[in-house]
Amino acid sequence: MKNLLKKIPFPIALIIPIELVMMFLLIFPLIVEIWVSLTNWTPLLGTNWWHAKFVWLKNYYQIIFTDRRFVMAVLRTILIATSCVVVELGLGLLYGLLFVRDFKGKRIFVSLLLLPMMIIPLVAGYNFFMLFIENGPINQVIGWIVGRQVTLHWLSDPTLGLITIMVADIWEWTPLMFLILMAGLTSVPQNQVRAAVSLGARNFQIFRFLTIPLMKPIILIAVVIRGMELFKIFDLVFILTRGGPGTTTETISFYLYSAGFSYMRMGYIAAGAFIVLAIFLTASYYILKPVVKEIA
Amino acid sequence: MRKAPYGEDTRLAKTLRYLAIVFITLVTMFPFFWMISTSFKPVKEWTPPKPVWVAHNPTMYNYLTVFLGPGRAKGGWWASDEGVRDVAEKEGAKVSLTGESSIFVPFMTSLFVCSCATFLSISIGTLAAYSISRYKFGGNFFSFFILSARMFPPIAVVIPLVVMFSAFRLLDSYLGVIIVYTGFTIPFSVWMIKSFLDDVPHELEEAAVIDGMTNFQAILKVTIPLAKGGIAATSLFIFILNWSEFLIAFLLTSTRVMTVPILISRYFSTTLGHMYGPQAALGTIATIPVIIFGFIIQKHLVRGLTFGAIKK
Amino acid sequence: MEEEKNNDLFEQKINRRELLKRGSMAAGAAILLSSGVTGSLFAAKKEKKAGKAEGVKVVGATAMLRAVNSAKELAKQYPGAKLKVMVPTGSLGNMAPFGAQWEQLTGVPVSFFEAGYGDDYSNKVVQEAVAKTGQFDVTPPPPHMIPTVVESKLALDLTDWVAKYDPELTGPNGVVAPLDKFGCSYNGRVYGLDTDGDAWSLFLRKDYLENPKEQKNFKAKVGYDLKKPETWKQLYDQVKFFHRPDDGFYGGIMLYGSFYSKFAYLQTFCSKGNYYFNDKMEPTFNSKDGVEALQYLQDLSEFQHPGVFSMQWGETYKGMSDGLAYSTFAWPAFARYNNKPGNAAQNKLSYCVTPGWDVKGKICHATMLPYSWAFIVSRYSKYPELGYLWAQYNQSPEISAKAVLQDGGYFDPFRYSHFKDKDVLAAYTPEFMEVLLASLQVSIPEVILVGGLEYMDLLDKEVQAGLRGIKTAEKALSDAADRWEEVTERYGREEQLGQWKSLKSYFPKSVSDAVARKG
Repeated sequence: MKNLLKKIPFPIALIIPIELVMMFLLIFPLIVEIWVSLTNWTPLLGTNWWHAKFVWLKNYYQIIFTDRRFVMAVLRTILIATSCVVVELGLGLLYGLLFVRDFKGKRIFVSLLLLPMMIIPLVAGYNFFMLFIENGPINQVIGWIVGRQVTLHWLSDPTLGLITIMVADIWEWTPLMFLILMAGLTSVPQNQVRAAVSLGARNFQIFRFLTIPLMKPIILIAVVIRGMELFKIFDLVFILTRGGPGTTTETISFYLYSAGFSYMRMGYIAAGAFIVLAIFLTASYYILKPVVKEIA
Repeated sequence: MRKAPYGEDTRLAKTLRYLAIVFITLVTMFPFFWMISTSFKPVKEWTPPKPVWVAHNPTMYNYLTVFLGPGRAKGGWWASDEGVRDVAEKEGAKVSLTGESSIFVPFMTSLFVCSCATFLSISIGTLAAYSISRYKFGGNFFSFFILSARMFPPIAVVIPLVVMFSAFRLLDSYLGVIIVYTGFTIPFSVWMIKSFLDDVPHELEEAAVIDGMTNFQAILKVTIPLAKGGIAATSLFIFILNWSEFLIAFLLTSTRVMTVPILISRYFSTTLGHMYGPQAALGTIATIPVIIFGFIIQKHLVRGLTFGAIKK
Repeated sequence: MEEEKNNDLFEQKINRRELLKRGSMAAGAAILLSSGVTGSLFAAKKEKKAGKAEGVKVVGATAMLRAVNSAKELAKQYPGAKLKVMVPTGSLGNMAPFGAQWEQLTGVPVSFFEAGYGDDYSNKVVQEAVAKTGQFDVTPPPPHMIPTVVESKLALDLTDWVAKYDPELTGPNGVVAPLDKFGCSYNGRVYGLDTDGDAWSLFLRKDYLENPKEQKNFKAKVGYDLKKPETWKQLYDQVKFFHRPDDGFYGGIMLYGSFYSKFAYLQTFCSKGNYYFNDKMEPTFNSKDGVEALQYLQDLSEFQHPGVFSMQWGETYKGMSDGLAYSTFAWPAFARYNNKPGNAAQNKLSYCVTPGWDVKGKICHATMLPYSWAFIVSRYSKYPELGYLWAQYNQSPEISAKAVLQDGGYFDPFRYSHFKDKDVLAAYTPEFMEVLLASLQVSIPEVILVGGLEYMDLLDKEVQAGLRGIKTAEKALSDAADRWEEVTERYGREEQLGQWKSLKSYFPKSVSDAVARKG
């Protein structure tokens, strides 16, 4: 046995634990899901999933071409994901710039600004619910600014509902972007900067032509990681608007959840999940392509 | 105004920056403040007609509920003077309420489960990350494959997972939850740790091997200590992810295992619906471990999340 | 150098092809794994066919005594038997206090665990239907889940046990009709023991309704006497009259938000003398009646508290108790809650049955009965008959009369005997109990069919769109009808029709009479 073990090349030996975990945890459910997505399985028919009738690609066809609700959910999720990523990136950059220099109390301020990330999303959700209901403090503050009483329906209006969800997410995850970008900003090689200064470059030019290009890889990875999580956004939608009013603030995960647990259409949502996977794989591949060499 | 040479700021710039930072911090802290404030509010002040910023009649009752559990909390919730357990005990005997719902057990459970899962995820991830970093195992494909594990909406994977776990008798067990948490966070640990390992020159390991260590010992004694900072940072991030996770844990457990997020979802009563006060109280308390870790690791955290593309 | 050669080797070898090979090996292993898993699943299922119990002689004059005596006998055949009951969060109060007494009388320990509320709890039940783990013996899902738990083979058919042990579902102590039907039965068989009379009633501010000055002004302004509204039009007039936003007092604080709006809609629609489907299994609400019902709710929403579109029932309850509005619809527990000494709303509330529409000369009342809870027995339980007997015990007239008094739970009076029990009358007030009895007798079920949750959710979404002005009432209801037709097609029109005919027979007489009058 020990001889056999010795014969396994070292790199492969390192990979074995992760392969075991992935196989056990990810591959089996994935295979089941692929199978199920090709059937019309629902527990309501009383059969087990391996007995369900095969409908081949019908689920995929239906969900892409006839299910307007799914398509809208995908578009909406893309909208939320892109908007949030852009804002989080922008804010993170802004914060990073503000924190590049040292000053008194920097460490405390950094700790405070990191807090939103550390709170349990469920609790954050309920918190924002209390803040944004019609008789909550947000409307109150707006009323003070505007001068008269204001009752905006933050949680039950199609547009405002989306905004509320996005605000909640931005609040919670900007700290992550902030950290990543701050690290990037502080790691710009000093000799290059000095060279640029000595050539007469101004602050803004340094920023635009030196700093940003150097940070491109990090920015892209941060975008992919954050975008990935945003694509699956669920908790906030559930607590704040429940996808309402109607279906106007539904995201992909929320629709899959409704269709899966309320309507029990397990086969259908398995197809939907794979479509989501395909969309995201393609998107992230193209986003990461320019920097793939440096990362992988 | 005199233009400052690069590397220094004018007084005005410094002041403006300070003001900006203070303003941003205040705005960011506002929801946090609201949560802490709510944790001291009595029922009437949770969603009153006019918002209550600081509790008019502050009460420790929410924290009491958190520590004793809703079943034991007297008065206020049920608009009567007795919690369920007291009524039960009055009826004459011990009632076995599994998962008593006070904070202690779930807190310990969460700590235990999250720590184990984080440790496993980091260990396994480091090994794999090493292989990818040094030996370019699998090219781009394998790395992407691992990352794609996070792209699948968890809702869809949950049912097969439950079926599988039930067959292996892993449902409602600590081991089951640890395994799931490990698996779900491995993509992060692989990707992040790989980039720190990239920063450690591999000549050092080769030197160690020449000196007589095995490959594995070289990793353990040479590489890892050098990447220690980044690994610590990744650990914190993964710990946060595990600590906050709700859906999977909820569906995989019933009586024996309860984590903090599940406890939060239990703060629901007949007469009040969602109990925002205790939820805020537990939310506040639950942030403390994470804050402590974060503060300790802050230095490393900053360094850690750069994915290695930055060279000094 | 040896190391470099190794590295080169690997960079060549470990390329895409190698990975694909290893990937397919992994897949192969996974398939083996999965067949092992499914094989063990099969094995596990075979084990769990609980052995049929030896016949037990049924002794006892009341449902509770029968349950307890039989369980004691039965337990002798299962030494060491323990029961596990999964309950929705917050409902322990209705069951846990009586578990001790059960254990003393029968020797069978029973334990409870909470599993979330609302969606969380339903998800757990669904998960158990799929995973078949046997983590609980009994659980009380809402009746709208009965088709789900029956068709997915989670719930056992209780009809024979009901015949044998007689839980008094009918009779002088029985469950108030028609709840005894739609809360317990499905396709003519009994699957659940309903244990909660969750009918909606209309709650009004007594101090405004019976105020002489208000009455005088009302008569002067609107033209008839101010009294408890019998028709929706009268309710509208009153809500409009009492809507005084400048004083911080609103005409109503009803549930208009996501998930709840469908309940308001269904009762407004049904009380025009309609069923949900016609005899061809087509939805009936994309009709003049349906549009008028939706428009009515739209009109009424003008005089509601501004937050009603986001509020959950916890907030509307609090709002009504704090005196923010004149009217609301609520479940019975609200009456008990507000009747506590020291509560601001004590003695300020008046109650009446949900108003109706005039249908060919007679007013048709129909009130929604959303949720409610009914004990089912899990097929994967090791002691199903014992579990059933415990459920009968907890739902029996004697025990349930005490259960509904408890504050830590959701159960409300549901048996005729409760309406004569002095403790229950005291807790809920005799005035309210009179209204509750009437409400229960005109209560309409949710869409309790296969795919029922889907029908209701789709209707709710369209009603929301209509109420928020995103679509016109006609468009919203027509879209809802299209969605309903898709669901019906998917499950098979014939099968759905069969179940619907059964559900239709469970509707209250007030509705069936109105439908007949319309001709």
